[in-house]
Order: sequence, then C-alpha cells, then structure tokens
Amino acid sequence: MIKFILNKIMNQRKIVVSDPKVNIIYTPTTLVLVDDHKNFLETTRLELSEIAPCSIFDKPTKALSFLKNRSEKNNLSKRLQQFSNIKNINTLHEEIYNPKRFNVISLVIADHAMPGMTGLELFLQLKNNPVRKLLLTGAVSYAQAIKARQDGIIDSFIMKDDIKLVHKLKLAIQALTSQYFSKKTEALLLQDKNNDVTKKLIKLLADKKFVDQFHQIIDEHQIVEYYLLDEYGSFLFLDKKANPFWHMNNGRSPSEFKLEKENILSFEKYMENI
Amino acid sequence: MKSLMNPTLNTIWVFMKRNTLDAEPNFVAFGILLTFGYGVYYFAWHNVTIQPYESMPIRLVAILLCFCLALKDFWPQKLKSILPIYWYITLIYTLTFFFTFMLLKNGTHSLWPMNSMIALVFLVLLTDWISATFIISLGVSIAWVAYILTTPNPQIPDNLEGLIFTYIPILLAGGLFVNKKEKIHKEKLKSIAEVGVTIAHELNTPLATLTMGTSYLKKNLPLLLEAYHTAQSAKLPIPIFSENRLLKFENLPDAMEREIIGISTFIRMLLLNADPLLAQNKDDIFSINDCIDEALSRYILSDENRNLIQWKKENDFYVKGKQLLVTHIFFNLIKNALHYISVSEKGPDTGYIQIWLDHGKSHNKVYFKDTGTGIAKSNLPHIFDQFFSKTTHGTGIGLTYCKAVMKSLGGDIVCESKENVYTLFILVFPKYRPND
Repeated sequence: MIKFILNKIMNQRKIVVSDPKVNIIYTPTTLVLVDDHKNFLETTRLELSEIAPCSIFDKPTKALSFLKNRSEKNNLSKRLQQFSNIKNINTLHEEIYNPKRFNVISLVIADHAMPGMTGLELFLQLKNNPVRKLLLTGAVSYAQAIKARQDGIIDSFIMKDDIKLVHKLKLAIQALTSQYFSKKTEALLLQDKNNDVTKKLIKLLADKKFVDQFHQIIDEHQIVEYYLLDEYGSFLFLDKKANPFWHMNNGRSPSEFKLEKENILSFEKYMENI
Repeated sequence: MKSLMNPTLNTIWVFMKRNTLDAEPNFVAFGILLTFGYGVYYFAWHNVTIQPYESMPIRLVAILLCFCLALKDFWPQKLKSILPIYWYITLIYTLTFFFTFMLLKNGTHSLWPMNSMIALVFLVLLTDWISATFIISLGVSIAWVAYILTTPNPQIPDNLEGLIFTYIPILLAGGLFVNKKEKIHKEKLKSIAEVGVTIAHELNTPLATLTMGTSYLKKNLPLLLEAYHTAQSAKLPIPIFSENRLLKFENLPDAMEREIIGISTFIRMLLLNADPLLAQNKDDIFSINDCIDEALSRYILSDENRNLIQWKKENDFYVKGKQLLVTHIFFNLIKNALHYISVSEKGPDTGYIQIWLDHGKSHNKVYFKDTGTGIAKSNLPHIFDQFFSKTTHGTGIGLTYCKAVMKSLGGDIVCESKENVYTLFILVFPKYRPND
C-alpha cells in the first residue's frame, strides 16, 4: 500500500489537454458529479457554477439510473444522426432554439472510494456510454487509476489531495467536454468522408490558421456555444447572453440567417433557472 | 537496470538496499577502524605475537575495501547506486572470508578463534540475522575453497565443532537482542505512518471540499464586498463593518487557503516519511529556480511575509529528482523560518529570510538563512531526528523529511546556527550533468 502512495506522490500528474480543435458543434453541457460526501458535492457544484451545470448524486446507483433515463430521452448522438449527409448540415444551428440543449451530459466525475460501489465500478457500467469519465481518487487507488486509464475505463483522473485541485479540475472539465464534442464531430464527418466537400471541411477544421482565428473569436467575445452553418466552414457563435457572432466563409452573409433572438434560451438564463 | 530484474531479485535488492541504508551511518567509522586494524595487526601478528601464517596481499584487499567504504561520501553519484552490493561484498570479505581463512591456515590453537569471534560480533552488530546467515555461509565457503586450493595438505582444524558451538550463541544473541531497540522504534514509526495514511485518506474529501469552497469564496467575496460598498454609499440600512474588519474579511480566503495547503503538505510529508526509499521512481529534471519560485508562490505568503524574503535568483542549476518532493522541502523550510522569525525576541520586524544559490565543483548548493531564534548548540545535532521537536508548533516530521529527500537525491541537508542570531540550512545537490 505504501508503495502505491509513494508512486502517487512521486509521479507528477499532468492532465492531458488536447490541442485546441474546432468541432462542428459545441455547447455548455451538464456534468454529473458523484461522491458520497454531500458537502463536497454542494461545494463543488457551487465552484463550477460559472462553467457548467452539475447534477449531483451521493449514491452511484442513483447516478446510474439517472444516466440511463437521460441517455434515452436526450441524446445528442441521436439528434446529430439527422445530419448524416453533410449537405443538410445547414439546419444544425437550429439547435439554438432547443431550450434543453444544455441538458446533454458530456462528463461524469466520480469519487473512487464510495460505499456500495466504487467509482471504477460505476465507470465500468458506463463502458458503452459516450460520456467522458473523470475519476477523483485518493492516495491508495493511484495504481488502480493508472490501470483504468490504460484500459480505457476512464479518460482521466485527478488526485483529490492535489494542491492545485480546483485548477486541474477545471482544465480537465474543459478538455474532456471538448473531447465529447470532437468525438461526435469525428463520427459525423467520417460517415461521409469520401465526399469532396467533407474532405475539404475536414482539412479546414484542422488548419492551424483557421483554428487560431476561431479560438481568437471565442476568447475575445467570451463565446460559450458555436454551430457550423454550412459545409464551407461558416460558424455561428453565441455568448452567454446569446448574442450572435458570425464567421462567414465562401462569400455568405449573416443576413441570410434570420435569427429569432427571442426564441433562444441563453446559457445565462438557463443557469439562473436551475 | 532495475526494470530488467525479475520480482524475486527485485525483492532481494530492495532488502539489501534497506539494510545498507540502516547500516550506512556506521560506514565511515567501520571503514577507518578496519583500514587501520588490518594494517596494525599485520605487524602485531607478524612481528610481535608471531602467528604461523600471515599474508599482506590478502590484508591489502581488505584495507582497500574498507578505505573506499570510509570515503563513500565522495563517491561519484553513479557508483553510489551499487553501494549495497559493495557493502555486502565488504562484509563477506573482511569479516567472514578473511577470518575463516586465517583460522584455517593458523589452526584452532592460535589467536584466530578469538579473532574470529570478534569478527562475528562485529557482523551481528552491523547486519540483520538473514544477511548475517547469508554472509557467513558465503564467506566461510569461499574461505574453505581458498584454503584447500592454497594448502598442499589441507586439514580440518582440531576442535572445530567446539568452536562452532561457541559461536552459535553469538549469532542467536545477535538475532534476538541487537537492534531490538531500533527495531521497536522503527515499528513504532511504521505504525504511526500507517495511522497517518488512514488519517490522510479520511481527510482527503473534507480537505477537497474546503479547497473548493475557499476557491469560490476567494473569487466571489470581492464582488460581495463591492456590493456592500455600493449599498453603503446608497445609504441603505445595512449592518456596519469597519474598514479594518472589511479588510480582514477580504483576506480571510487567502488565510484559509494557506492553512489548507499547510495541512495537505503536512499529510504528504507524513506519507513520505512512511518510507525513506524514495529513489525508486522515474525522475524529473528541473530548474531549481523554478522549483523555489513555485514553492514561494504556492505557499501564498501574505505581503508582509513576502517582504521578509530576499531571494537572489541567479546561478540557477538543474536537479535530477522529484520536483514535488523538493518543493515540499522549501515549504517546510519557509514554514519553519516564518515561525521562528515571528517568535524571535528581536521582533518580527527585524527578521528576514535569505535564499541564494551557489555552484560547487561536484555539488550545487542552496542556502536558506533566516534570522529567527536560531538553534541551541545542544539541539543542533538532533534536529533531523524523527519526532524531535523543541517547539510546541512542530512535530519533528518536517526536517526528517527534508533529510530523507535530500539523501534520496544523493545530496544532503546540513544546518548551521547561532542561537538568537541565525539559522542556515545548506541543501547540497549532486551536480546534474545531462549526459549522466
């Protein structure tokens, strides 16, 4: 046991933050937080309240049944299926009128040591669920966490006693939620990858200059969600008050899109109501 | 090399390392004593109380082994990793092979049965009984082979079985009594460490909760205070807080954060003290400047304390080891220094901490000086001992931790102090050369 602890302390733990990529869609999503310590759940939800809504569970079994229900009712994959052909991608941005779009669950964060069912056992049951999985662990389960990450049962883990816990948790949430959307993006683009238009789009989304420009817009206007508008790589961005920003390609103009602003539930409004 | 070994060999290797680590404080004394011993007694047996057989070459090998052992602090870093093997070879050669061979050559009617007994006592004092058994079997067998090969008419000495019966109680006594006190002390430390591990585990989530809450408070308290000021200027009926109290209010999250870091640091050190064999993991290579920077910034000193620190950020050097462990050394030194400055009779206003770096020929050094209360001369030799603390604030874990980590890096930490004037810690790091 002592060896595990030493390993734990001595391996500098770094969260792998994937390169900034551009997805075809990105929205704030709901996190599921599981820990048997209620105070920890409440406090963490408070701390994360500016980034993402959290559903909290003090029992893994409750979280499991919630996730099962949710994935049947509100599954982004299902909604994305209608865009199997890249040509009809131009209706993708209509998702902004969906007031439930922030309910999508992208990430489950669970403590390891819980009575009844450990965090790893919980994640094992979610093996086929597309949500990303982040384990919070203590000293003793470090070796287990490493192995679980190798086996693909979890995507990442953070030590609960890390001095930079808050910082690392936020970085991990950012990286993993973004990963959730990039998996969806990949799946969608690969369906139609032999099409010349798709090939061109894939190339554009990976183009460094384009990616930089894209992230500059996100930083500058504090964008919280964005949608691909067409196969040429035009995008619609919304900030948390749902103010629109545009990046148009191929000579298109924002005026072609008539936004019904009053019908968009902004992320800010959404957060006020929960 | 270690990764290639199979688990059994690895267990043996860890066992050897542990025992070598236990015996290491005796190496210099052992080396010097035996270097002289082998020389002086050559003349004693050769010229004064003349014994039938003597051999200078055999003694020279022993002298060389002991002499190098005495100089182990000056060994290059690379060689130090084989110290356990060297130690066992030295014991086998000098204490068992040599004395058995001499006994066989000179016969039981010489002075050698007595000499061998002394060697045996040495051995049981210096090792555990498993190692002693191994060393004796190997050393004695080699001595027999050497005796048979070098003697035209080898004979089993008279009364050998009588000698063996005399020696057995020494071995038994060694196994039973020697190091018992140390072993009990070690067991005690081990159980404390185990309790520490349990406590650390239990505190994990509560501490994480406090961390989360404090982080949120820190971010949002200024906004609330701003709202308070706005309400105040609008003359709304709100409770009155003095400016002074508001300021303290604002600093509260910082203070809480500092305490939380203090607690987690302490817990980590407790865990690290549970096992001094730290060197088994993959190392980082890091800049000492970065490491000190990180320690200072993470310790979140108040402005007042920050001004106490005079850091000459030059002569940067690289260290091979675990950065996190070294950062914790600085946490620890900062914590101690701030405490002793604050309780110093000279008053906290005159105190300061100085940190500077120096390059040496084979070692690089970090100097960490504070002008706190200093350390009394009588306490100075004990400050790195486990659970030695002369203060009500300390636990006697911190400096022991510092020593263990520095040793694991192949370096050391030493302390100079003048009571009521200053305390100076010198952290000695082996020079890191990229092609090592």
